[in-house]
Amino acid sequence: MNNEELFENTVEETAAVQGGEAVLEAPRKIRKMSANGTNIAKKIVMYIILVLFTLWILVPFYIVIVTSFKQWDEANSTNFTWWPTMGFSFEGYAQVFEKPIANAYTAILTGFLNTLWIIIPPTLLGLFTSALAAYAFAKLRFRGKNILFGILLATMMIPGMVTLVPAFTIYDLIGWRGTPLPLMIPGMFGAAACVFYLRQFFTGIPTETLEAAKLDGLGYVGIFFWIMVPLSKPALIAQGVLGFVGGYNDYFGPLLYLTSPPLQTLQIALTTFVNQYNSNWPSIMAGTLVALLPTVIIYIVAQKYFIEGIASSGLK
Amino acid sequence: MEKIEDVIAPNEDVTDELIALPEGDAEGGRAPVRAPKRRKTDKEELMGWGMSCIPILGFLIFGFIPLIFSLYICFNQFKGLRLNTAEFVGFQNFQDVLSDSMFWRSVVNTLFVIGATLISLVISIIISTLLTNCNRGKKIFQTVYFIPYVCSMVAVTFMWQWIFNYNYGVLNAVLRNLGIIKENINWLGSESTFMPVMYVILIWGGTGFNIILLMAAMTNVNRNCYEAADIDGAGMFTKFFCITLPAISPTIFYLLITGVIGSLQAFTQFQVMAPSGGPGYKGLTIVFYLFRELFQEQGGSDIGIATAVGWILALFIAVVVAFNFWGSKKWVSYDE
Repeated sequence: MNNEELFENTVEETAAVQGGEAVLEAPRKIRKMSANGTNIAKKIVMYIILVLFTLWILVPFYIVIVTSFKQWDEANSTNFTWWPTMGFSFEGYAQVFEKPIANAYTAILTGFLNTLWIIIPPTLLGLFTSALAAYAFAKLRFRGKNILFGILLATMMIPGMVTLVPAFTIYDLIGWRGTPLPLMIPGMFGAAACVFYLRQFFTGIPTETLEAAKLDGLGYVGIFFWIMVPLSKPALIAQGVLGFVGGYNDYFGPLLYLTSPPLQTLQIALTTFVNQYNSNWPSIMAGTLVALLPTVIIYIVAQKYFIEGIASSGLK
Repeated sequence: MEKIEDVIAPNEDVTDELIALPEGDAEGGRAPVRAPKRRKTDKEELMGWGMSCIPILGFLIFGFIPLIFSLYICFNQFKGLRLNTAEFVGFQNFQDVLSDSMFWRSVVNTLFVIGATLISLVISIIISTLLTNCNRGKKIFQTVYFIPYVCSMVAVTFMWQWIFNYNYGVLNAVLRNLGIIKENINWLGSESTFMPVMYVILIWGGTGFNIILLMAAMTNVNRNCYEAADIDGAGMFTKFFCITLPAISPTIFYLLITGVIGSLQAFTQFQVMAPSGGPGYKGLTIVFYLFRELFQEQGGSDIGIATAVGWILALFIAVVVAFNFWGSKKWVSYDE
């Protein structure tokens, strides 16, 4: 939208300049040209800075990729090469995917699968419960709604670091430590931030639509599933991918509760792998790249949802 | 349209007694389309409660109980995780923490982390300003700049660990080839360079989120203001400082506060980079200190101390939030 507008503006401007050119007097023309000159210079400087910043973001990834394909000798030589001159080696990836460490799978692969089954259920269920609550807060009338909403507001104020140790102690007491339950169960009840975001989105859906559905015989649950969910797919997807990426990249939680190899999530498995292949840099970089790729791919595919989800979260 | 009914309903709610709730429950099933008003309200009430209480229930169980429990823990001393060894010690845990030089070292390190957040915010403002004025390639730049945000901090830390590697790292090699240094620098092994390296990692990972929010704010700035400024002959910098900056000040403040709160809780990059705390404990942040009390101190975990650290950290965060309320009134212009 905005891009198009900007584009149109510039087209109009250039058209105006071209049309007016013929009748312009000489001095004005010169001034205009020099203004154009500084504009071009500004543009060039701007693009140079933007490209440099792009390199600053991307070159580290390039270094990871190149190193992961190097042979051990080349990676561990004092002169860094920007290309695997001694030939490509897939030894690093072989170590990531083949060498058995725990059970039948490798540490990294086990970690990846663990991450999936530990993270996906709470993400989906949490999204569902958050959406239900958001629907109730946005569209239903019931006693104590404002009080409940206030309580929800207050939960965001409680610093996680205060409840961390007591929660850890309680989980230890009831035998949840060493199991994935502390990472899974709390998330299933939904997250306050997610409720806020979805509530905002749901409020934007016209009440008339819901009333019409009610007249057609849909109950509250029916309205939620057949009207609210389909109409708010982008918002739900945005929250879903953000939640998944957050869970996938979480390190602190698994570090507290799940450090035994068979249950390690990917982030912990990666640190284990790195310690095991200490100073074998091609392997470490291969592991790093494998750990990075899934979220980057999800981001590239679902980019629109990421940007919208984040941009609207800050525009309260 | 049921507007009239909606207006009546709240009044009815007030006079209704709570006993009405089980009634609605007993009825069960879907409410008939043309149900009497009263029963419909009950149904709505029940649904509203049922749907909205799940996250609140979760909060009560996993947030409120630990919160209350933490008040008990921080005033007692325990042997390991055994709760039956509790011994009331008053404020002793807090005294122990505040008199521990290691804790103050972690506070200083954490303050440094806040510095990295400020730098990354300034860089983000510059980049987003340029990006908003850029017509071609805007989308691609934006896509690239956001990538670090979705990357795993653990993997990213290993990435930089390799770049800054003492013997084989690319940075030392490049600097040597350029003739800037003669001998390799032990970036991660010496006290003076450890924090600068962490700055690089934090800034690299911190700009993506800022840029997205700042760009959203900047594209919302009223174009007419810039056109008016153009007519008045305002330059690039005048326009930036007199129009853009005040207009996006709420976003900047929001990013500043969330950034500072995030920095106060920095942990992952530091623990992954230096599990033992780094040279001269330069990598020991407050949360890292808490983590060590919970896991690594000899004699097992000291949950009393760890909880006390948690409360002190919460106090720091509360100060930041208070500053938020005070500062947003003073500096931020919220004119819509």
